[in-house]
Amino acid sequence: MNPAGPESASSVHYSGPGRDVLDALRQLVERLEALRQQEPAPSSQASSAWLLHVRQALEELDGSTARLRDLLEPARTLRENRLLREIGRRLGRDLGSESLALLIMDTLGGVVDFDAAGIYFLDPKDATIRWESLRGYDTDKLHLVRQKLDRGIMGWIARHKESVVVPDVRVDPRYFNARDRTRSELVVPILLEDRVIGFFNLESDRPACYGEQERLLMEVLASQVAQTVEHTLLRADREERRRVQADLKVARSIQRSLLPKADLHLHDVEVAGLNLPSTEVGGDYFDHFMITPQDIGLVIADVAGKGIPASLLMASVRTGIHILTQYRLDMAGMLSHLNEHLLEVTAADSFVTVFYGVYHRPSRRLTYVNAGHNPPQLLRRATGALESLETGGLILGAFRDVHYELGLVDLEPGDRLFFYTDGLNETENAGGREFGLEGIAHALREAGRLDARGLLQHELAALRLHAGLHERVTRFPDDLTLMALVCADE
Amino acid sequence: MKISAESRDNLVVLTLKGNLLGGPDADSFYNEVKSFLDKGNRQFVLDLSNVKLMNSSGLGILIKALKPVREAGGDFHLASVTEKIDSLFMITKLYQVFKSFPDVEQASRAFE
Repeated sequence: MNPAGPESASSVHYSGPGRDVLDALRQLVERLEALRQQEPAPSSQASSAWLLHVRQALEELDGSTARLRDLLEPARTLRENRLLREIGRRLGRDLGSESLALLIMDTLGGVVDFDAAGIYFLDPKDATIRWESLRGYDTDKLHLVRQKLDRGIMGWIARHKESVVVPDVRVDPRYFNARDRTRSELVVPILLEDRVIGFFNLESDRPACYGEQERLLMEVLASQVAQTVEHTLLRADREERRRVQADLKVARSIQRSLLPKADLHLHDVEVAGLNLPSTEVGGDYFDHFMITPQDIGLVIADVAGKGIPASLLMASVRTGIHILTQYRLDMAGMLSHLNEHLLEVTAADSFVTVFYGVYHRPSRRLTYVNAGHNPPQLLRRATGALESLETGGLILGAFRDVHYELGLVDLEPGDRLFFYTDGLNETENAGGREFGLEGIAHALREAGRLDARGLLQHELAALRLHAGLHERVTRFPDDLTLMALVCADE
Repeated sequence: MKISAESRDNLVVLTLKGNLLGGPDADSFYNEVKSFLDKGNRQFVLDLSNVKLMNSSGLGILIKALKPVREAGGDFHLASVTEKIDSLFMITKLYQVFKSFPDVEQASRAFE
């Protein structure tokens, strides 16, 4: 203990490393103080000599402070390491990005000097501040602090994506003043991949407070924060995907409920169908329903595209057909109506192909309109010949004022009618060859006298064989829908 | 899919190469057509000789681009449609909307 006692701070003698530097500094301060008191009148003869002395003293002061900084370096590195270790430890505990930012703000003081500081997270949608934590600003100037984001250095960084050290804010045109006492500033972006998601901003009342070292430290901290944000986003993404998956399951069950519950078994005719979407929900659709006890409505449709957009449009097609059927419009007029309706709800690059038919049981006559759909194949029992049901018109939902032509075909006992979507004929084998109409026709003939359901299973088995798929595979590269109508033998 | 374009006077010949299956191709084709429309071109020949695969989404791309062309009083002529793609136009009855020609020369002349 110094005998002079603690009342005089200047008399406390430090005897550790760097004592000589401290002594030099003390002498310099005294020299400068003396010079201040001797300041001559401006532009007098003495003033240039006086200025020279001042400049000399200041240069020596610079040298001494640099030496002092080097001396203090190990202690500072130790504190930096502690801070980084602490952050690492907390990261391991699944800390949120905001909590980590707060932790950094709270512990930063021991490592870097600042008189005001802010950390900001941006809203990815509109780059406004989503979250912030501020220290050292006057509460009545907070609105100005927020303007720094667009107008200040942060605005510049948002465009250039690199840190900025400003030794003297008064001469940097990018600086936006939200705090009069600030002389130097350090702003570091928090970057996620190539996107600025936030900023660290430090302000000091001293000029040139920040250098390369402070910039590097803050960049390391910013990257730690970015990592946390990334983890949080990934976790949220996983949860979102789980939620979407659950929604899709529900959507799938709704879509199933729009399909016929069971095959149609009547003494003179039977109808069966199956629908295998390539994803959870699809854009294919088949339907068979009794319009009257004599008339069976038959539909197969395919929405261009897959997944949810296609499935929504498919639901609209089904509703349209069911409502229009009730109005007992002529079929060609009905399809024109449906086309106009779908034009309102389809995207410019989407459309629907629909085959709609009504089978009149007493006459075994099928009246139909084929709106751009793969033509159903009619296999004649008597001759073994195949007929394509093509009459109709353009695809639905793409062009205005479309007129449709009505097709008529009389079925005979034992005839079989097979409907399909392009997922069947377009499925390729390993060599790139499509199943095609040949594959369909071959399987149709091969199916012999199998019932409607058996016929579908046989086509499916032939497709699997063609594509080299296991017999239990029910998911194909494209949505796949099949329907069969079989007239009973006499 | 790759698009190359050649324009002379009012006529633009767009040559497509590869597969036309929707996805990112949709925008690039539409934007290409739109940019020629903005320059005042109205007559388009679409050379499909090098398109290997096309599906319903690919058709959607052509349909979408046809709309602004027709609204501007112009048209699309298809040229050299391969057999496989021909059947797609047949099934969908899109030949009611798109005129098709054996080659680029005839598709171009048909505008005269």
